[in-house]
Amino acid sequence: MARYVALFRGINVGKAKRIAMADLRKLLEGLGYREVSTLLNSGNALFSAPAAPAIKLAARIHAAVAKQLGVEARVIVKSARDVAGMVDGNELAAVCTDDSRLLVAMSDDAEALEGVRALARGDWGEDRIHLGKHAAYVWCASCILESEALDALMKGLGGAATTRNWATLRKIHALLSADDGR
Amino acid sequence: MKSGIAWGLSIAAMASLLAACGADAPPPPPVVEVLQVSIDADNNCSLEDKAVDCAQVASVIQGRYPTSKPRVDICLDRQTRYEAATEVMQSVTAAGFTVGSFDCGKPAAG
Repeated sequence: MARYVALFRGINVGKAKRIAMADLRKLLEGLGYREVSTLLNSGNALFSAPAAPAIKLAARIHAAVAKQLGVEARVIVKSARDVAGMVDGNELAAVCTDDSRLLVAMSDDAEALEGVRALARGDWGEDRIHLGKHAAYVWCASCILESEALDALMKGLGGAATTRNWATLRKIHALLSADDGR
Repeated sequence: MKSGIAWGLSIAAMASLLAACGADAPPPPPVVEVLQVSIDADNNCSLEDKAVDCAQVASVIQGRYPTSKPRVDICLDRQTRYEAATEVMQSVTAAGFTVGSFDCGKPAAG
């Protein structure tokens, strides 16, 4: 068994696409996954499953959520190893003075990530963009809604990514690591 | 004589009706210059401390203050999702309101 996190894009951010985390846990258990838990209300589901390509797990979860809960939402699955790689590969941690303003845009679409590579070389003033293997990182020196770097990155990625802030990603990493140590 | 009394009564009735109309006339909508929308850690929105649907923030403002064009400050919790924040900002700007401060005395969100 391997540990994974399923990250849902755009759920529970308005009246549409509402999913109760209890329903999500039940659904994942119904798919046969073990040690299911959720973090926050925004669609971070941790689970154990027989090792499989993340993209296949994501497709299965996406289909089940659409069918059983009636919600169409992009699902991105990352393994515990991927998440560890994202945490270790964050080159912007050094400039981050507030975890809530360092955003990590995670994607399973390598082409989409490659498509925004040029943005990482741009001059964004005090903001920064870094591109990793599984994610793009954005440091917003001021509020996230004022960041031209973040705006450009999210437009570049379109719907191919879902963001979490650095604090949330570190919590996911800690939970996955703790689970691995059981 | 009778017609004089009737005439007097109708004037009194009309005066009373007019007075009643004046009393029942709705007050003009309040004019506001700045409003604050907050988005909490669970991505729920509130306008002036009352819950509103995040997607409906702009239309609620328009309904509540039809003669105002307030500046809208958007206050984020540290755990507010970027998607929720942008949804509100886009709806507010699309309605022609100016987005003002994001600070609101709290740390910026993530």
